[in-house]
Amino acid sequence: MLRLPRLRYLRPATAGEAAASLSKLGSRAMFVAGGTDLFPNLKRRQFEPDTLVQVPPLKGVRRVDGHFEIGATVTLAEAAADPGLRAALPGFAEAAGLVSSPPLRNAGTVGGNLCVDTRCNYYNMTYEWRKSIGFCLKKDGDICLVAPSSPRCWAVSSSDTAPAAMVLGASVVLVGPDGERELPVAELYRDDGIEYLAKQPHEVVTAIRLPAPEGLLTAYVKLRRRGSIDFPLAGAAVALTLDGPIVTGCRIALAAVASHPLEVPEAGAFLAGKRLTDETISAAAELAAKPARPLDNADLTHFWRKKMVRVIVERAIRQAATPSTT
Amino acid sequence: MTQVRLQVNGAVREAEAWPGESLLYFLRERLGLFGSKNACEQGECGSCSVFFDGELVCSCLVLAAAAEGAQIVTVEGLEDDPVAARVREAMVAAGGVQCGFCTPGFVVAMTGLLRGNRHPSDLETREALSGNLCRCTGYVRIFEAVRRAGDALE
Amino acid sequence: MPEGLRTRGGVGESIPRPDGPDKVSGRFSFGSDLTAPGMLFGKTLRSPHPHALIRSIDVEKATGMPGVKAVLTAADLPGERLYSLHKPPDQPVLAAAGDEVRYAGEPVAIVAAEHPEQARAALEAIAVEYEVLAPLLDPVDAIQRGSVLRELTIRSGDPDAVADVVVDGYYEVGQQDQAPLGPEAGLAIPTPHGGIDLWVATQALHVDLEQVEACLGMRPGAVRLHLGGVGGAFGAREDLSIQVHACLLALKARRPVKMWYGREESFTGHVHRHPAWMWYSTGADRDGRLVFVKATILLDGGAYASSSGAVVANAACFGAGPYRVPNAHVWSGAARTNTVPNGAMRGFGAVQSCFAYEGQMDLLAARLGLDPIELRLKNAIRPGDRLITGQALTGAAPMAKLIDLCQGLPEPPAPSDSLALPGGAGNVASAAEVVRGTGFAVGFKNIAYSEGSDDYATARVRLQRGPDGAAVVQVKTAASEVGQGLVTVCLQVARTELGVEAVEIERADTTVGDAGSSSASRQTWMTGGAVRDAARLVAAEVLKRAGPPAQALAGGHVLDEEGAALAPIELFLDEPIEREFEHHHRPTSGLDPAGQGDAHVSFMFVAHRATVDVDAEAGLARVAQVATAQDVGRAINPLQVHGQIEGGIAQGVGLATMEEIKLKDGLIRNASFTDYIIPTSLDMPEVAAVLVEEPEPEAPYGAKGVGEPPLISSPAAIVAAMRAATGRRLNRVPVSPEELAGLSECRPGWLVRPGQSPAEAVRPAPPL
Repeated sequence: MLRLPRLRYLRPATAGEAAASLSKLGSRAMFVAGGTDLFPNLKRRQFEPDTLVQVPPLKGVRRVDGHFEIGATVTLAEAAADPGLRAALPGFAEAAGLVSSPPLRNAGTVGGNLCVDTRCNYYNMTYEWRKSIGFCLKKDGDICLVAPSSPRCWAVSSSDTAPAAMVLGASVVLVGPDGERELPVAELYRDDGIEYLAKQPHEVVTAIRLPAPEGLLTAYVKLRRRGSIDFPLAGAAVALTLDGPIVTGCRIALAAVASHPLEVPEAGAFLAGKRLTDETISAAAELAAKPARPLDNADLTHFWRKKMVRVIVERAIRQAATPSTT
Repeated sequence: MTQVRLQVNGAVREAEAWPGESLLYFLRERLGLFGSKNACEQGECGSCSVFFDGELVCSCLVLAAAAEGAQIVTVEGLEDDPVAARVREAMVAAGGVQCGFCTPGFVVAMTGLLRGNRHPSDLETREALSGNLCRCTGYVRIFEAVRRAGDALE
Repeated sequence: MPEGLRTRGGVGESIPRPDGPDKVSGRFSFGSDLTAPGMLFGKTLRSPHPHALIRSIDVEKATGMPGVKAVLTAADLPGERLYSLHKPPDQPVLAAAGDEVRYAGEPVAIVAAEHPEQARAALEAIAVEYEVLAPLLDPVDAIQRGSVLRELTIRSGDPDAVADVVVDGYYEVGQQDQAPLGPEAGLAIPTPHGGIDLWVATQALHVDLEQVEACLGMRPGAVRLHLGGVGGAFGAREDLSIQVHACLLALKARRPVKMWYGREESFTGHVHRHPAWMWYSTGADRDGRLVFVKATILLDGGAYASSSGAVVANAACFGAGPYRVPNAHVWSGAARTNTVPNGAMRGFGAVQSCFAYEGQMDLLAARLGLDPIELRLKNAIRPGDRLITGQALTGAAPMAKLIDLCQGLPEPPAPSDSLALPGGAGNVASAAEVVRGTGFAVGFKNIAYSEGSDDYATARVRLQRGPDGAAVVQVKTAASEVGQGLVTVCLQVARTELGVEAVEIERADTTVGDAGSSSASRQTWMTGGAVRDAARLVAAEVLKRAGPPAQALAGGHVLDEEGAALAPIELFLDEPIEREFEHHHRPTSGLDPAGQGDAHVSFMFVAHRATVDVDAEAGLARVAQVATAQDVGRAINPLQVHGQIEGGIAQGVGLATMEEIKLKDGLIRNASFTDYIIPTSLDMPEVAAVLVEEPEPEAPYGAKGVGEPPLISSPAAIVAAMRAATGRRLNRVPVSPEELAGLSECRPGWLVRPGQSPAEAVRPAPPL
């Protein structure tokens, strides 16, 4: 049986109070929003805080000045179903709607998915299992079991919404004990499986701002084995603007091929100014796949996952360009 | 131990619990509501499905303490629910029940689906129930039960 | 007969399950829902190593911890130290200091405490010193070192028979988990007189009882087992899990002890389907008539015997398929390795070899330029034919009819929605990337116990007046309702035989005689037969009491030979009538050294056609439809038969496309529903099923078992469809996206001449 450890649970009224609590308690405390990722991890003793600080309700999907502002505790189900988001930014709405399964999307939040812990199948295992194989760098150990000679942790970023937000040039609003700041999503992550977030631990994500300029075309393709539940084996987010057949702007980011959501600017830059053809799409996808470094720490082989990056990027570009076919 | 006080199935229920117990553990071991099942305890199977303020969630992934102030409805609390009543009848009549371990979770999820949509398409049904695993039936007769319950609700 | 005198809901009708209302309302109590005042929670400390010597176990610290009421090791065992389905037993109740642990997950100590977290903390405080030993993990390696659980050779016909066309193939089947949703669970309650009552979710109360009594060292009668509600089984509950441990802790603590495994622990806490490595050579004449089948079927039995013996026999006996095969040479064996023991899972043995022989039939069809279905029809086995074991088919064997009916079932429409495409909601595929393939496969398997086992089941049937004065039947057996609908079958049988609709199926326990296990598709025949026969004795007594001209019972009445009502049945129930009956099936014989013998009582046949949409670039597949024709003898309850077919096909879809336990250095890498994935509602194909009812002469009501066939050839058909869509070889299940996309191929790690023991195997030359 999987049990939660003994935990103190705090419910501050505001984000500022939540940040102050965490600031005071330090590493003994963690934020919890929907809990759909954190609780399984706590049950497996991936984290051992003695206190959980609830992120207070931060609801609402609002359209202001050409962008959407989504409260951090808007659930993934609410974001996926929001008519305005679906119409203007289908890539992001799809990504939210592809996280896990319906009951988890009803509890899981947009803010939580952006901050979702990195995953590794040497790490996301029970305490007993990890003990039996020897603990890893990310928790309780001192070597990486995927790449034993590596000084760093290679756990995989498994957020579907992060790359979809990144290609929009989105930012998050962070509240700390000393106030509020805005940070581009592209700067929210670090290339490290353990310290994967660049925000301060006591800063709470309160909102996400998604630019939604007229004419922006978006898509998100998620590779997984089943029709539901599974974490991404790889994901491709695309945001595209076209002038007739010519690409005027393109951003591409990948899920689950590195310790952070991986934007591939070379691929987007390659397409800019070009006509979308089978050849240009294919060449852009090749470029996008190059920096993807899946390792042998998720379902199926890294060889296949690497090969599939090109395939899903191609398809995501096509879907963004021809939304009617999706 | 701390005292946890919840609104469960329309009544205030109070019991001592360890800080950090999940809602599922609290419902089962503290309140004796064993209708919510424990097949994976990490949100992968839906056997512990309950309504949290009307939303379908996995109670294994909710902290009991976090449910304070919310309206929790378990399968036991759906006894007089008209939609759930049709769902239960249809599940039995259509053969959607075998071992029955996933069944209470499915009854909750199917009730949630049919509250919002009396006649979901086959794919809408499959999508809505895709967080609930069944190992016995191959789902076919559960889909049939959704159709029958929807018809009976007309 | 007047309508009022018909007994409703008897044999042949699709009545709903009697336990359905309790299951849909959440009232039905499963093993993990059991509770008792003063109950403790039991937990198991398991070996982290696949192979090690235990130097010492120190429990002192754990014993004194808060809430801890019992800590036990092998040193505390009061009775037999070994248990097993196999005789003699070989599996330790708890591994002892000074002895070895032989798989990762083997139980070493057990603890009971007031709260599960206290039990967990106590386990953590137990100090076990291990000397790690090299694990034996490769089954060929194991065979070559003589580490063998069973091996069996079947030889029939001419060993030197020559064929016009020969195809050779190598096949692998991955290790499948039964993944019942209900975890292993039970509650042990000590009695005031030193005995113990155990409520447990099991497939076989008496099989458990015999082992529990021996391991507790208790006299017969001191231990009583009761069926706790069973949340699915599929073979996972044939071996002991918590049974002995919970009793030991309860006896020590003198308090009720509940144990249940979480999903992770469940993966090491029960046996799995044997993974298989199979080398086949199939020969035919120019017209496509089979000349010979030569096969080597190697199974990994894991660390202990469990039911490997029967699995080895099934894989061999059915290893040439439901075909006329004049010459056969099959070696089948299970290696003993340092992995989690393998044992029973739905269709055991037959599932593995079916994937190989059906792959061979498709290769042969391609080589001969024949339609694969035509080739199967040409070779289909018929009544009177002999199997490769020499046994003649004496019962119903409608193989050719099944093939005909199955191929005629309507095909599914093209996918209408992106959700129905490979990759589903993930938006991966559009219709342009998808190719549809169709594949066909057939299979067969035995029903009930084989090889000379005295297979029987007991039922007690009581007829009396209920509180309202009307006649009521009570049926008592020790047979496990595991979800398959046995309670419905027993109810229908009792109604049919006694003409009384009010039938209560009592909870199964060991206060009545043995019913054997709910496995091998046997309970409809065996326990159904026992209920029938006991009920017939009761009916005879009613008729005797009624006297002439009473002839029959129906619709609650005693009837004369014209079918006219003479009197209500309850009139003759001043004294209740109770009868017990033990139903045995015809004796079978063992297999001789050439693998010959009438080892099986009866067979079930099945045909599957799969339609699969494949995204060949991504290597993703979605099974659109599985069509099937199944030989059921007679459907006691057609609704439930369809339920068994659909559920079995779901597990076949899982085996073909996603389900596999992955081991690394003997440790399970994916012991959770996050990483061991089973089909969701979005992955389940449409099922088109037709039941073929040719009554089996020896079976009660002519009914064969129905649970296993849906899983025997559905994986083979699904993979055949994927091959048709892609042209790839796909010789391993589950088919990986990588193989489906043509990015890799499964190649044998050893070279074996089909029919020979892997003891002679050599490594292939390294690729240049």
